Amino acid sequence: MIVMLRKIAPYLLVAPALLLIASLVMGLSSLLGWSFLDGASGNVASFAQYESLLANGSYRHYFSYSLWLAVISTAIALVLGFPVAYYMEVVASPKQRKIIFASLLGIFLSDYVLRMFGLILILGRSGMVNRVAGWLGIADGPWKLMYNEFGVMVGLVAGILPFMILSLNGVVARLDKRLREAAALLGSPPWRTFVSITLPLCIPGILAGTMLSFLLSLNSFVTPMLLGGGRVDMVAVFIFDQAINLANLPLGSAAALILFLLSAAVIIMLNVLGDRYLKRFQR
Amino acid sequence: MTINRRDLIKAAAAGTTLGWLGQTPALAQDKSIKIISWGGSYGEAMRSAWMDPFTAASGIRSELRLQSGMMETLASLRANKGRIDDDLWVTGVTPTVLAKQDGLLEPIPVGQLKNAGQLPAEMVNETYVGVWRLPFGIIYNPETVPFEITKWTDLFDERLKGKLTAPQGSGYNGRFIALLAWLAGGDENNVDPGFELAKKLTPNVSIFTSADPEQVRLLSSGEVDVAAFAPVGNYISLRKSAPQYRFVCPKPYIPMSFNNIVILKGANVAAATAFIDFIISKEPQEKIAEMLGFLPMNEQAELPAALRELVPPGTEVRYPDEVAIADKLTAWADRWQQEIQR
Repeated sequence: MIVMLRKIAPYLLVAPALLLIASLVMGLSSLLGWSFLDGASGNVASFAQYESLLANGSYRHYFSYSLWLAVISTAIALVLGFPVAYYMEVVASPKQRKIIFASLLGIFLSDYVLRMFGLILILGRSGMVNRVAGWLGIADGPWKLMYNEFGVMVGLVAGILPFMILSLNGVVARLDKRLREAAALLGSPPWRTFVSITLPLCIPGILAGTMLSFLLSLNSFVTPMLLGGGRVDMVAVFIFDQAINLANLPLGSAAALILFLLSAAVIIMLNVLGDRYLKRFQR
Repeated sequence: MTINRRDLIKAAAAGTTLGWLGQTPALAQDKSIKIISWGGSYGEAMRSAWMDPFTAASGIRSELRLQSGMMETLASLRANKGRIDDDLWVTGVTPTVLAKQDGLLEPIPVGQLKNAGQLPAEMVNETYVGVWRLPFGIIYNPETVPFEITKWTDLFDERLKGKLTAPQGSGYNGRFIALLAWLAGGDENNVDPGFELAKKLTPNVSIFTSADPEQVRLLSSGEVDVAAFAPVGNYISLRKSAPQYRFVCPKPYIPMSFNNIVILKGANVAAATAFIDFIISKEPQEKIAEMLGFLPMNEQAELPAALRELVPPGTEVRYPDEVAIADKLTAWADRWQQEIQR
């Protein structure tokens, strides 16, 4: 009996994970199958959906616009996140570091949808910012800070910033502070030390944070859905609209697969860049 | 003991097969039916007005399977064609037409519906049976809107700049686009005038919505002051938290839509037909209308008192040609996104 149990135990342990993986693979293969049907309820195999996505300028716009939003939001998160990560590890006292870390943990533990609703409460028409602006008499009417591109950009950055900070924090924490001290002893001004020593050493973390943040932004659904007011055309919303609101699964599936391929391309590109950089650095 | 790659592949294949087997339909049971419909207040009302009394009267158990949107359900039915294990679907004409084209429906044995004569003749056929009617109007906040809204063209008033929420192109299955086309002299087969009119409306629209709860939330939170196109049910939900709002049936007419029930392919047709016959009878019709704020489809049923105030007798109504809309909805939604929302 014990021998039998020993034999089957590994299978029992991996079975739940395998079932999950099998379901995911089934889902993806079903998506692939749907994307090659010729119409919303078609039965004929064709490339019609892909042709339609590539030929129609309006559809292409969803992809180019999502890429643009993802690039800008990632860049903003990097610019905002780096000083925080740097401060946490280099400047902050252990107590301050704990406070910042606890704040980041709080963000991770809170629900994403609730965080987006929180932004509406702050930036919405009757939100805190507009109420303060009205009270101070600096605005004639409510500022339009939500339900447009600006609102979505704020939401995307707010969503990815914690991931960027933690990715950067990992590499900043491993920096050898003796290198900075040596540079200072040799008369290097702080900005030069940052540009020539700190920043190059942080590149792996920057690439990791960029990859994670970019993919989260590119695939974002909740943020444009809640904060876009129907005016911000991101691919995930388009996929939802086609597959769910219009019951056009083939077109939605084809768009989902193109988004998947785009995401994969970004991962590969950033990995190649990272490898090249590391090889150069190791030389 | 270690697991090699071949063992892993075998186990994955077994898992995949098990997953597929899990998708095959359960065997139909004679004494029960499964109905796809909405949850929340809809689900509660359906259980209370239709399902529980039906079970008590017939001995046939009924189970509610929740949907969040009709088109979402259509997508799911298409994906599971041949493996559908539900019997009935409460939906709209556009998804019905598309589902029929896809061979997802069973013909309704109209001859067996004893109460069919109490419904308008055009609401009973082999494809669907109408279950309630939905009047659409405008919801607005009289405290923040500087004039009384009485007609659809009031929505274009420049004093409403940035104060409106309007449906997305696919919202309410294109009925708002149809309304704009009517107002501009077009119709469901000629929506160009409607799109030109919509362009004049865009400065006033702050947010385009895709779902009823979103519309209600935006109004109750004060993000917008006017819902340019709203079913009366949304007003009934809204006034619980924001009693200052007003519902109007604008001139010259209001679009009237309806929901219907269909029998799904492979259903327990006898039990499903009995259920349909029960829910179109006078009493269940009055009860559901009262609970949800809809107009009953049964012509002998009394109109709820609250609705008599909101949709006064004599209000001009117009029914969209939903069969015509069904074929064009995807194109309309794309165009709306491109020309109006973007």
